[in-house]
Amino acid sequence: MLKFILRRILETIPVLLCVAAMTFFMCRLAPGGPFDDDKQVTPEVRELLDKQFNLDQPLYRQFIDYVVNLPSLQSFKNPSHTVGGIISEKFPVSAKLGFFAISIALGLGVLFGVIASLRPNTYIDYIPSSLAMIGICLPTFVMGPLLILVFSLQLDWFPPTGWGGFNYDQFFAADMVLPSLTLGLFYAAYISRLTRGGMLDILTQDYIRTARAKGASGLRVILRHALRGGLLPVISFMGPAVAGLIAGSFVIEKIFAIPGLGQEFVNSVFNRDYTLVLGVVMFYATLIILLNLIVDILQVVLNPKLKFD
Amino acid sequence: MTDAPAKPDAPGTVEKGESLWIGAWHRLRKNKMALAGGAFILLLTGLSFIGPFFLEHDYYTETQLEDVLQSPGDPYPLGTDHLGRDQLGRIIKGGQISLMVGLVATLVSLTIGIGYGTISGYFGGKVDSVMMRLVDILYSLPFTIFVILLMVFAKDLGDTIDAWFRARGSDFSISGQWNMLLLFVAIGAVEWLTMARIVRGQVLSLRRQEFIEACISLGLPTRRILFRHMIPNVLGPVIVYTTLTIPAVMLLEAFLSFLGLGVQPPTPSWGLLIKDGADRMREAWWMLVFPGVLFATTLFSFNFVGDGLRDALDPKTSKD
Repeated sequence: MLKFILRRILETIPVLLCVAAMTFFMCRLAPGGPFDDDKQVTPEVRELLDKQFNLDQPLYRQFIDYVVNLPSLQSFKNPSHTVGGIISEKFPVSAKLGFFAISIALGLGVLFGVIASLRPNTYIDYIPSSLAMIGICLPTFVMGPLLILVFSLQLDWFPPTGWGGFNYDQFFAADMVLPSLTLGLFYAAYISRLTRGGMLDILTQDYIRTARAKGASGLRVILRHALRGGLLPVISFMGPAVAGLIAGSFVIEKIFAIPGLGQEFVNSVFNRDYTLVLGVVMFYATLIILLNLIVDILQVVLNPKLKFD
Repeated sequence: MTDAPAKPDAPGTVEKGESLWIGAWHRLRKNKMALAGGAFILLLTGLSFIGPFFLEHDYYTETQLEDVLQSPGDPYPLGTDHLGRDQLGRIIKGGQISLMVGLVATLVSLTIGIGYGTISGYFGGKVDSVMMRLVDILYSLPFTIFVILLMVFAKDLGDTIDAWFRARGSDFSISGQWNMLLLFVAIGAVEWLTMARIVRGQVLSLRRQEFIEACISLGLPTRRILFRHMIPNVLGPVIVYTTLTIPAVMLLEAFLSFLGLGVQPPTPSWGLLIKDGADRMREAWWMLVFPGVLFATTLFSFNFVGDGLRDALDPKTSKD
């Protein structure tokens, strides 16, 4: 297993370098730059700006400089902050949103999926399954505004926007409910379908009949014997789900005005804030690859048929 | 597995074979949800491509400042938006754009995916393992992020290309359609990965079958084997996956338009309409609810058709 992990981490390095190169050259070869939108500056000022941000160096030198010093580089639009500083300030907010969302998704998804799989093709199955289908087809950017419309503007249960200001002391507050739900429900729907399918495959297996025959209670059969195999499709879905959650956070943070990394990233792209764009892309890429690695390890641990090759 | 076509049971009658496509149609016909979904898609496509000819006014760009934010009612069945434009007209026109992006970008991804998957599966061995490793790596990349980068950074490239042609004395201009073109390419370039995997798996299993071996021993050229014998046989799963790719593509387009990166106003698309609606839901719920529900229903229909087609075309269910 250690060999497997080491090999995967080593494989990550060229992939990350490719990501860095693609991002950097896509930014730099495109027309327009970070100082083009502002009011015209005199050539002398422009020269000073270029010097300050190393824009006067040849492109390959800049690339090396970017990759080596990435976390400590200045943001173009916000020169008093470094890339690393902005990420470490904004990411906890997004991470919290992601954590709540994934908890909702796993909790609701597995619960409904298991319930549906126990009585296939009855109303107990149809109702959660159709709810799941609706959840899959309502994109986050439709679901979010609709939830605000109903639960904030009509019923006035939850505040429509904001994420407790910049107050990180509270672990949970009422204004975190709607964003987490919006992001989580889509994945809950998907996970419930995967759980249902996985459980249906497992529940007809011989070893489940054996467990029943030796007198294990219904609940014990499900929790101890069936879920371990039935959740395998869910585990392998978690890899792509993480990438989806990150993309989803761009939209959710915009709808609910949450000051997280997703909004920061979209703004930095619009502003052509080269250093920040590269920094956030590299951060996301590392995060996704790392979480995928964890998912792959979990899969092998849970599925005795698989081996670390 | 449940709905097999009725078979003549009486002894002595010759059992008539059923082609894959006829059998699939028989099974599909029993799936009411898939049929309803298909009917809805056809209706919608018809409406959004023919509908604009029947709209009396060019409401979808015509602004009428005295009619700003009218609730649904007499002259405007679905109300008006913040610039006094008829929502019905905008939704119809927006549907046309969204469906078009869905179809064209899917076609792009289809072409790349089938080409890549067929080559990888047919040649196998080293070629296959290198090509599929590349797909694995691409899978693990944050692709939505690259689409966002591409949409922003390549935005002005259209003007650059125009300038290049103008400098050479040509009237050729691309910047008007550049944004749409970019959208097709960017989305198509992302969505081909799964298609390539599916096609490769199919080709790999076909390659070991006798009729392909017969083709090879007959000395047919590779090109002919690929186009004439391989590709038609992978069509079933490809059709299924295509119907499932269209909603995924439409979702990505709406996602980009919602962030302000996709279709550019005043051209409407459903994603843009939902964004406008979300910005103004306090004053005008109809701006959000109508396009939102229509968009969700469309995705719903495509998914049902896709699921229905999978059940109908899956060789596992067609054996009875």
